[in-house]
Amino acid sequence: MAEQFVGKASEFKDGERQIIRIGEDEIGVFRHAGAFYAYSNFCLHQGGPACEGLTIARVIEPLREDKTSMGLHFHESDMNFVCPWHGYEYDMKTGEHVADRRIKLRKYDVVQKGDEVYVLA
Amino acid sequence: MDLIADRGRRVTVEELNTTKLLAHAAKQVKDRKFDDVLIVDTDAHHYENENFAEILPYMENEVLKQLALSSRAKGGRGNVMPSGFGYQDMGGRVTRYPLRASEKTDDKRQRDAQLGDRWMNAMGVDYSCLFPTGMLNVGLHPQKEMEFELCWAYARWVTEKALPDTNGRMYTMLCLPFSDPEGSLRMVETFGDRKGVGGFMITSVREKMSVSDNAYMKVYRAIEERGLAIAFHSGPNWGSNTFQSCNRFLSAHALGFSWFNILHCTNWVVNGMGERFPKLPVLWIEAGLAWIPFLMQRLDHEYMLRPSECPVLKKKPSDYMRDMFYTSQPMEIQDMEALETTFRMINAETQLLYASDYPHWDFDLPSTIWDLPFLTDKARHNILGGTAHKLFKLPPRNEAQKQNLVKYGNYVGG
Amino acid sequence: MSSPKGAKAAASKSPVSKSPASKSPASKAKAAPRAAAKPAPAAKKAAARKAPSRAKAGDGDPTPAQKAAFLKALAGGVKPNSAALRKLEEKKGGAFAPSPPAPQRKVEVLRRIPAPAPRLETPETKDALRIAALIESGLARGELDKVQPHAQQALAAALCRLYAANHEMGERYPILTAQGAPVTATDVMVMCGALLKAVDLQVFELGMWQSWSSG
Ligand code: FES
Repeated sequence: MAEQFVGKASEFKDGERQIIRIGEDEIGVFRHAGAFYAYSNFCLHQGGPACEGLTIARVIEPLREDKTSMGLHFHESDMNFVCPWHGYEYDMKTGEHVADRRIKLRKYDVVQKGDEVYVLA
Repeated sequence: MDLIADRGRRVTVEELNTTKLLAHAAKQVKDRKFDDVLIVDTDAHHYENENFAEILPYMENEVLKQLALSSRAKGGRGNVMPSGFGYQDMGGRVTRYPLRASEKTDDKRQRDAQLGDRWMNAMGVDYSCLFPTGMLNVGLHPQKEMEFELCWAYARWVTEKALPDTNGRMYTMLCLPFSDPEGSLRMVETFGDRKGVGGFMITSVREKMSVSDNAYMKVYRAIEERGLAIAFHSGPNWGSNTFQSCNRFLSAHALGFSWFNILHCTNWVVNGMGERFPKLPVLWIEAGLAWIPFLMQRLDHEYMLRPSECPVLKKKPSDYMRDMFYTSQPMEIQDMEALETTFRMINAETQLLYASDYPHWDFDLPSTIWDLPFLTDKARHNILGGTAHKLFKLPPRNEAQKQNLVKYGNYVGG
Repeated sequence: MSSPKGAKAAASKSPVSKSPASKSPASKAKAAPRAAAKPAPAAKKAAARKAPSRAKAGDGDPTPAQKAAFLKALAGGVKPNSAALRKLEEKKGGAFAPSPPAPQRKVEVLRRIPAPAPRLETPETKDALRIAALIESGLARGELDKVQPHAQQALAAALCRLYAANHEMGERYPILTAQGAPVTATDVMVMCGALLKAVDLQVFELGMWQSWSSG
């Protein structure tokens, strides 16, 4: 496990992402709402480029007390990223599949030292 | 390019390049040495509506042709092809839908042929059976004349323009205007011997169709005589009465694809079509596999109680079903033991054909078959291409593929 | 040549490097049936990482074939689990297999997917915004006739065509800002109705057109 330099935080805008290759690994590094997240870019479904698709808020369907549905809505803050091959949706903060939390992308730690961003890989 | 996500938020994604999008598939090809395995994709698609400008002029009837062409002219408001409801692109989550137009090709060859090369190479597929997309709804057209014209025009275009541009990598099973038995027969007689035609396909999405009607026997006979195959290609129809109570696309899609094949397969089997046309290979396409054990058990059960309703049958319905072929996609890999049982019940080793369904949203890579833990090597090779090689006489593309075909007893020349 | 300590570490790793990737497919399936179709198991990658390519032997060093022959000959007379064998293991690492310094793996940027571009303020954009502001302020004052119908028609037509042309090119964006310009649902219905009427379209035709392509 070594710190791998990814880039300068000041050049890494919010909403931007980088797909990097370190040896055999491909890693998607996201900057979302100020924080950095890094996950394996190999989707757990059929191996698609999990980190290269759409980012989109989690869809929720709130139920009222009486169990009636309030319909479909986007969550205020929870963000998913979606594998572009077939749509596996992963939680931006954890890398878990939103429909089955046991399915979890390999997560890499990201450390920031001054302006420099490193991935532990 | 930007895509629209939640609340109008824009998300930048790269413009579409199929080779890049499927780079991880190419890695699988390398890791698994797929170059040595003949891989036939028995169900792949293109968007024929993007080629309507070239297709529609092949219509025969001048009046219908004029109607169709003018509907596409600027300001025209006709609708030639019946269309369904749905969100195949999952709100842009499956990015190749919204980005489709952004992919660059040159004008040296048919665009679909160029795109085909890209994804076939990336997936390690040697040959693909090309099917249309929107036209899978042609059976919902209220005018049987228009249904015939559209199928005819497409058949001419695909055999004269599209397939010749694919360097022999693509073949097809032509869509029959099934509401018109005479027209269907004419199609078989006209196109049955053309290069790249492996058989004929009936779109399963039809609300009223009796596959056992006497009017069709000459059509089946003509296909069987030519040594070709017949296929039923399924699809959803959210607008149908059956699915109006589905409030999510998922439900209508999950049920629809299985349902329409269940329906026609039942009628096919119960009316003893397998007894009548024992040499006619029958394929059931794009309904997944989970429905087959269900239907086998259901039909066998009823058959034992009511044999007098199907006196043509000489064996159980499930036995006839085991004589037919099934394409693998979308394979329900959820409960490995259930899947293994399914493979056993359908004699997958000889009756299952790999299919990708690319570029549709739920496509399957060859690794979905290759990586199954319960398959023998022979089964792997057969399902991925050996069986299709025998059915469609597709030659191996290199010596290693040939050796593997020979090794597993599939080689029939070429 | 590396320090003896580093050499030992390398020696203890290499002879017993039973790859975790050699797990039988069946056991893989039992453990994770849902993910059975997943390619390139992570274990394999981990194994690959553990075996960095060795540094090239210096000029005076024996060739790999010589090394192998020597070790084979040596090992011929050594009993398993003996002190002699352990010595030999040490030697394998020490004298003949210098381990390279901890590898500094290369980070390669495959793609940089930028955040959406900030808004561009072209001169045309500024002009269009000025006209929009003009209309809004007139509305606020209740002056409904300042922009005459023929000018409204020109604006509606031009905007309609511009939006559609962008849409056609795959440039998809909402026609109203997310915060919602002060447009009400009624405004929208009136305007859409008028647009449809202007080209003699029925609402059901719009529905049909929107669901045009399937697949
Ligand atoms: S490979 Fe990612 S969703 Fe299928």
